[in-house]
Amino acid sequence: MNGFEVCQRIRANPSWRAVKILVLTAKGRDSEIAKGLTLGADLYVTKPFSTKDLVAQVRQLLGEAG
Amino acid sequence: MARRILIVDDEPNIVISLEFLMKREGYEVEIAPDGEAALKSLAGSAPDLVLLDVMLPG
Repeated sequence: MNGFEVCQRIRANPSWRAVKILVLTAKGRDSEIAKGLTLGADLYVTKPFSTKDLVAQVRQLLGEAG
Repeated sequence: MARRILIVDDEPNIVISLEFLMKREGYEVEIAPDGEAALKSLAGSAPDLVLLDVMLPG
């Protein structure tokens, strides 16, 4: 089961609707990014990522300030 | 209550750095090395956020 399938399975279950999904993907794989978003990911971050950016994205998804 | 994050990645080095990073930010962290383990973890207790590597082995 790859990450896309995991994404799909999470979104197929109504009791996990509130779970945010942040997808990590390799840089330049635009088709993967598009696919991930289509399958229900909330946001993507390309690897290699800066830890500062990743933390900011996580905070944003969880609705936390700063 | 601390927010919970499930990290799904098969690369130990990435898992270690993500775990360190998220714990430092005050989150509770769960780890799953593959999709099966991730779904099992979700079924047990759903996290607030899933950090998902799409390049998991099929």
